[in-house]
Amino acid sequence: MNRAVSSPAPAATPLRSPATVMRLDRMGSSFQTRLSFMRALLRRMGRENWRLGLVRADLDDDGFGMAVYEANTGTRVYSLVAFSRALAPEKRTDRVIAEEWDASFALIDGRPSEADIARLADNVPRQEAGRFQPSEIVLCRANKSLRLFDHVVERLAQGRQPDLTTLASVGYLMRTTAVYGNGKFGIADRDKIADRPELAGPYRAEMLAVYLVRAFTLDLVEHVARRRAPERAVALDPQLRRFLGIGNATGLGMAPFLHSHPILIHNWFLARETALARVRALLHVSVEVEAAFRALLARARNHASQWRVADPIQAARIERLEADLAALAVELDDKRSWLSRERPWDSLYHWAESSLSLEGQEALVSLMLEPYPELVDELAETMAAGDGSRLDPTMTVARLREIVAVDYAWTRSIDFAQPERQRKFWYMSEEKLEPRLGDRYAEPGAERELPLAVARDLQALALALGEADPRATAAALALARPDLRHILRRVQTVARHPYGEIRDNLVDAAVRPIDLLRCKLAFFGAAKFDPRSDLWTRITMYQGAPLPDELGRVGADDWNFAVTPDLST
Amino acid sequence: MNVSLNEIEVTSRRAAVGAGYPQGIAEDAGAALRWLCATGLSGVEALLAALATPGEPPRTPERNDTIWAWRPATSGGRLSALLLGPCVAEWVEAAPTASPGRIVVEGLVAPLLFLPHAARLAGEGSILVEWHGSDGAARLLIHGDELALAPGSVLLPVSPAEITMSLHPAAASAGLAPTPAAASRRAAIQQGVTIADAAWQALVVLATLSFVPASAQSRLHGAGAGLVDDD
Repeated sequence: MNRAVSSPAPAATPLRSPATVMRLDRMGSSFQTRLSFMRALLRRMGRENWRLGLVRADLDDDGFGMAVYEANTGTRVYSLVAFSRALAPEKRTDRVIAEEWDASFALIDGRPSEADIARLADNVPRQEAGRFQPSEIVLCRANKSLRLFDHVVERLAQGRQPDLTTLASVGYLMRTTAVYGNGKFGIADRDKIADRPELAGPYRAEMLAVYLVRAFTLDLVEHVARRRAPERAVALDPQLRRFLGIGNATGLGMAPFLHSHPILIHNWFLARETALARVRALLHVSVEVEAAFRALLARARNHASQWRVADPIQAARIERLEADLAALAVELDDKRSWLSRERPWDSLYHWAESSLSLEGQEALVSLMLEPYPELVDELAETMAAGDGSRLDPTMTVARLREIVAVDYAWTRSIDFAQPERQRKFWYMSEEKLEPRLGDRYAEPGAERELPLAVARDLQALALALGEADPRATAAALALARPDLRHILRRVQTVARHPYGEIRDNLVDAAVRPIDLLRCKLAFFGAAKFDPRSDLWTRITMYQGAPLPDELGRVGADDWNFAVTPDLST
Repeated sequence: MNVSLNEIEVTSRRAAVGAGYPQGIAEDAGAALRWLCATGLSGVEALLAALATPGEPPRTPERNDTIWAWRPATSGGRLSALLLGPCVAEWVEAAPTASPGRIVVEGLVAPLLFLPHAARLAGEGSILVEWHGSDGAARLLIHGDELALAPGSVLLPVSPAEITMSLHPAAASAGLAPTPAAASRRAAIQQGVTIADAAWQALVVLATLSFVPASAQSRLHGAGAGLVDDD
């Protein structure tokens, strides 16, 4: 999308409040935005002329073997070492507890030596069962979408392009089932790369690894087709290559992260809400921006019509989204009620609040940010966070009471004497070494629950604060009540970082963990959320994103709300 | 065993929870172990000792104008560096008037775990820590991110000790040789940290106590795809 000249913001528009934004149902309606990590990473790659590509492939006729991809930033080299193996069909599972995969990968710092490759060959295909070194930055694995992979191989080997409908029904050739960073299994701590500008933002290394995995899947399918029919095989049409993303299956392992990193999450939301406020504050919309916005809306409507899921709840929400976007198009046509108003975007957003579903409202937020790179993109650099969650011992009980009364007012009405208000409990599974969600009244282990029952802990803190001397300090309370230490620190942290708290009861019987997953995955830049239950979802990443040789071209960043390509052009 | 700092922090936190410590204390234990290991001091043995010896619940200190003292309530009693460490630093920071010149903690189990909290107290300044245990003594200056250890000092991580902290050490640092803490921290970040296998395994076993074993019910409700997925 072309850059647009915008009116400067004459006065700040208030940010949407945490009470509005940090609710599970709205978080579970999130979309990719310009600030999403994949978007920010690819923009940097293009801006800095990174060179990416395959540097080594030792693959047999079936595509089994190893390959190495390089991302050369100009000052550093990162390599994705890929291993592709034969996998018995009965072992192909999305579950994180699988032990074998079609392909496994390590993103490493620098170029691998032969000794590195031999060591990685022994460990990377075993994933969690392997052991790694700080030279490895990310570890991940993926399984083929066998139906689509075989179809594409077959068609290419016949000298034909794959069927577009079949391609669109899946959207990717492989699906990752876990992507590990930050010191897991001995790989590099995040601190090792946190001060490198190219990887300084949240999840940049993981996003880079997944982008290179996508390139591997595209090369792999062409390799197998070529080996099958060397004389006849053709390459994938570049438009189809671009349309194919990389899939992912995500379950509960990711969900507690949003709870346990309040400062980081605050920064993510603050950046997005600041971007939205900047756009809403604009006094006028230029002709160019209006045209670009209309074109993007048309694409978003097409995207929604191609977003098909089996889950009946999400299917109904998508149906409503399609109606919402149609209503938005009608609203845009009524220029007197929109463009002619002062602060047209603010006016449009207010209309959406009262007229559209949460999916529709959040889709509008994503759409509104797209035409304004000059207002939005710099905020992507503000989304990381270091430490800082330490207890302020000087704070008085009186001040703590105020914070609890204001920031945690949402907890007051939750009656934990009602069994359903705490039916669920989060725990670490000994068998799977992953967070899981249990039924407190039907399963053992609730005494070992993870501290996600914020509202319940808060009520205990409020009780203690009510009984304490208002002049007493947090230091005194923490000394006397070590059991309240974590919630005390959390309350203080959230007072400084108000988007850091999810304002819903995460142990309620009705909690839907996929709301947490979708929110986080949307910040990554994912799309086509495809819930398979309340507990896990499939997604598509990098669909429509530029290929490595397209990075930095005009329009390369314009891939939100991807749609099937028009091959007639 | 070479482990990452994140593994040290997470496993220590889980081990503390597994040993029955409250979540907030466990979080501080994880952060303390990360600090120690990054500084070149292996704190895993100290943490194991602390987790095995609960210690008395912390109380408010005995105070006069120059000294604040935390002592066990009973003769031969023990104080836990896990429970008391963070509180001492916070207590001093929250002092309504000028903080005392010296802080004394007696009968402290696993005194090594106290150092990260002393470092917090030092902030950008300096703190002199004098350490007297049955098995040895040590004197060290914490200055910002640097540690300076007096000649002949032995930091025995496990034995109970009396710790005296001078908050305004002035010239007391004379003769102390700085240790390359910053270099150690860089190395730990770049290369991970080596922990004795037995100690690490013991910590992992304790961490496992914070996990919930699978049950028939949990398997029934498990998240994730079906067992076979070949679309």
